[in-house]
Amino acid sequence: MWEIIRQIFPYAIAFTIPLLITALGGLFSERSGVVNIGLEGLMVVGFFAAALTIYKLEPVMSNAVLRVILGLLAAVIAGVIFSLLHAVASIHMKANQVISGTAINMMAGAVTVYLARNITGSGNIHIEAGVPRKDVSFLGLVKIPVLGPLFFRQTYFTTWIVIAILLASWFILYKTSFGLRLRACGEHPHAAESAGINVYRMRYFGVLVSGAFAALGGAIIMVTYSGEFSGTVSGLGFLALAALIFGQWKPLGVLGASFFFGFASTIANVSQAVPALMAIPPILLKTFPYIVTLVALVLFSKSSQAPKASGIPF
Amino acid sequence: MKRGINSELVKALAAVFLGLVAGALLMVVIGKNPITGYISLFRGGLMNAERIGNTLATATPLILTGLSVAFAFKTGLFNIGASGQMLIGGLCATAIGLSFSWPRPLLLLAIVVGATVSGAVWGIIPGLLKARFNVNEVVSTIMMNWIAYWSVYYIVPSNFKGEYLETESARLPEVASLKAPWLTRLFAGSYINLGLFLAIIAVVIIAFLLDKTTLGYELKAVGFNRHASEYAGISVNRNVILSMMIAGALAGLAGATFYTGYASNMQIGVLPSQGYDGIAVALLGSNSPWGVFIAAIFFGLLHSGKGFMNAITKIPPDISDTIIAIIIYFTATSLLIERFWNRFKKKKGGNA
Amino acid sequence: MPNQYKEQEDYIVKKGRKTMFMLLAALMTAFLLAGCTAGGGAKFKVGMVTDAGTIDDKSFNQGTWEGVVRATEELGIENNYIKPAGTTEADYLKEIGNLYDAGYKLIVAPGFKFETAIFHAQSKYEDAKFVIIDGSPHAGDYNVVVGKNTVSIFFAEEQSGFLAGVATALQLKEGDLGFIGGMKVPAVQKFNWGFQQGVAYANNNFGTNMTIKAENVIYEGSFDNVAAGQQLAAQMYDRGVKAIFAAAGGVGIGAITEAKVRASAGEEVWVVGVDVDQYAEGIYTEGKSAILTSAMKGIEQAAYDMVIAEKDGKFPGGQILTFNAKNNGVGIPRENPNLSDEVEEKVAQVFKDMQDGKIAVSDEQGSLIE
Repeated sequence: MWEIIRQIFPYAIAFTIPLLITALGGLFSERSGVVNIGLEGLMVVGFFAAALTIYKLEPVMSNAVLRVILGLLAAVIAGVIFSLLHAVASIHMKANQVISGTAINMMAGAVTVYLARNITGSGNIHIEAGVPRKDVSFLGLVKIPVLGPLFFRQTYFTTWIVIAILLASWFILYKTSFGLRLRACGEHPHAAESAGINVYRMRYFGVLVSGAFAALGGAIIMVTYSGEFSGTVSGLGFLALAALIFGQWKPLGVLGASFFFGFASTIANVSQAVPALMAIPPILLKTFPYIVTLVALVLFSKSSQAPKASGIPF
Repeated sequence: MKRGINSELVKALAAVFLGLVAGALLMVVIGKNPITGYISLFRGGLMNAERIGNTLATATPLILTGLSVAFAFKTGLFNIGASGQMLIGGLCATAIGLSFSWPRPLLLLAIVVGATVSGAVWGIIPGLLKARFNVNEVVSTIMMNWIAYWSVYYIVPSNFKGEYLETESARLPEVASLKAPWLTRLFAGSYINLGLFLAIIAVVIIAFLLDKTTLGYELKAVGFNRHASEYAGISVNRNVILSMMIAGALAGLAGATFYTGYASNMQIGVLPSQGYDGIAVALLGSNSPWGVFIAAIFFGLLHSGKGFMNAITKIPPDISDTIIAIIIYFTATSLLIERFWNRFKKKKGGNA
Repeated sequence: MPNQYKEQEDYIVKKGRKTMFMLLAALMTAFLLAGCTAGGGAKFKVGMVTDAGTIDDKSFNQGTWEGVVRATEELGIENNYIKPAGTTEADYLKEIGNLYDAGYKLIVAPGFKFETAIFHAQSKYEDAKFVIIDGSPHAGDYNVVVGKNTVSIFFAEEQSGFLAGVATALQLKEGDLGFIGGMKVPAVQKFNWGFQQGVAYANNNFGTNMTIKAENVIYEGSFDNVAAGQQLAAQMYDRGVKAIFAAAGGVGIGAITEAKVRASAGEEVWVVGVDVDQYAEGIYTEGKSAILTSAMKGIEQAAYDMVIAEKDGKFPGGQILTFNAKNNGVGIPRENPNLSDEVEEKVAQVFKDMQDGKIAVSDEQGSLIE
């Protein structure tokens, strides 16, 4: 059993990271008071922007890692721009945020494939090299018993970027006055405004960060396990939304929820190839993450920590 | 009241108009003529009896999923799980259709009732979780979608497999199909089926339920202001459960019309897109039953005309998906349109 | 509401109005300019309806389309493809009708899912010609009826898989091999069974020592779960599998990605591609690819041939054609930079024996691993 866990851990983490960063983006948006159901679409935008950038750089730039970094940056920028659509609609125009998010999702899928086909001649964009996978030999971390082989073996550098963002987010939200103000906009915007906070500006910040993070999530899919843009992230954005709620709108909760999804899906995916797991009916393994989420929500939702003003136009 | 409906209608029409304008611009950008584009789009959906039939057949499940989403919206709930409810409804309908050899009227009744009930069960679970445990229905319905997806994925091949293929159910016998020979003939061999009438009946019933019954009043009250309703002695929990149950039932019925009417077997590994399209339909129809009906027909027209547009003009079908997305976006940002409309009316009032 | 917001909104409204006028003006211009596009000639037009998946799937949709494009461009006639909204018979038949009504009288449909739709289409549109690939028309009862205006094309995937299996075994000599399939559909299964037979043939006749364990033969269950492709491939490579035959669309892309990462780090792992020559997909650094070879089927050629045949008035209507080794319809790529010359020579000999009927490959499971 240890052998199996040790073996699949790097892949479970690889699957977790895009979910985590996207859910974290959703967290900023909802904490500021805007529901962002368009995470799925924003992920697709990042997926596309990274693929296109790296693809275009391949003939002119030989440094693969630099290409990847530029691809990630392009994705973040594209995500911010695309999320402006949602921000303008839901903040300035007081739109129904669910509707606007749905429109973002629909638009992203159609527009990116269309652009891909017109720019590269194919709706699928293929890149040569993504992020290399390495053991973390720094301080001998990979040699730590148990934890070393689980967390520091065969990692992508994008994983560490996301972990750093997670820690920074936690710090900003809970340890700075800025974070306090942001959260106030999602709880009591009117009180926040009387306290002199620019609610609009805070909410713009929240939504744009969600765009940047979700797009980064999509880009990480591209440079780690996918290697090819295909026009869809197959519901991962919605899963991130679920992880956000499952994680009770808290950075560490979101980390736990995303990791649970990542691990459970990986187990379900590889179950057919692992003799020890073959005895379990696949239908149980495949539905396991979803059923457990429902059960967990039943246990934790009574004392829900949802931002009170989330989804309500100010 | 009257004024409210009018402004809703204006908003919807303006959104459609802006969506079509944006689509036209996209066509111009890629060097295509938008007039021939739109003409072929509409001809593709309406040119002859067969095409009209197919447009209606495409719209049929959309009417029901749109109604499902709209109904939950009325109670302040977001049913993103119409796809899963539709799958389970379809699974139940297919199971009944393949398992029993009853006389046709009885069999069809069983299929329709079975699909509706199983959809209701799939919908009531998130409703219960919401009412009893305050579980966010957006997440729980997404989870239910995937549970439905994987259930169908494994149940169909192991119990209802066709002769050769592992990936789809056996074909339904004609006696178990909602396609009626007279209707198919009337529309020159199209895929229109009895589901359309079921959908229309559902629209009538839901419209009646919402506008003329106490239950409908209570459901809307809960959606309008939860706390005030509680204060007024309305059981919020009961209404939440009922709302999700009825929403699920409608989507389940959509499953029957789709899998035993439009299609004639079930394929595994496909989450029906009609569930998500239902959201768009409900939004454009401003959540009113007849609005949903019209919006569904309109989307049915876009969906069934875009292939012909593509064939005639080579305008890629992605454009019509973009048009739909833009329409939805403008529906959401109706503030702009509303201000326009109010100003327009004010001016008119001033002149008179 | 505070005044400043109201002002802002008024501004938006004003600006919105202005933008809209501009949109309208642009539209009018467009309408005026329109109407001067030239109509098509009297020649026939070739259309295609895609199966589930996109035109860029690097598999049968793309292969078919490339064949259509090559032929139509040579002949200077029009082509077009449509992607249906769903995967039901109704969705397919609707798009066939759209192409027909738009004047496309030769319609190509790749995939067994078109079987019932083509069955209806061939009698409904008698003056059109149909090509169905990987399937043959029937009413849902598997009583095949190939109309006079229809050609049904099959490929001997098992032969293609066999050759790839022989090549892989010869090149790697000893160790474990694996297979990842998408859904359990006939074409994928035949690839799998052929591959296993090919490996066994090499073991028996060329003294190689390759094994395929049951746990390393897997159908992922979809054609698009990229993450699962990567994870399954990783499982197998960690267990010592040297090469994986991936006949799984997007799932295979995930497997290739994993192989590329490992190969860049110096591990010796391979993927055997499917349908088309996937060598380019596997390139991870200057001129090095993780694709050992590919089990190809000549979809592009088949589609091309049918268009040309129609042009020459030799459309083989009513027939079921099988593209196999005999007519060069299946095989491995002409150039395989990762195979040694000696291996290529031996595979060429096996291919010749297959053409001469000296080697028979079964397209059924028999005693093979499912």
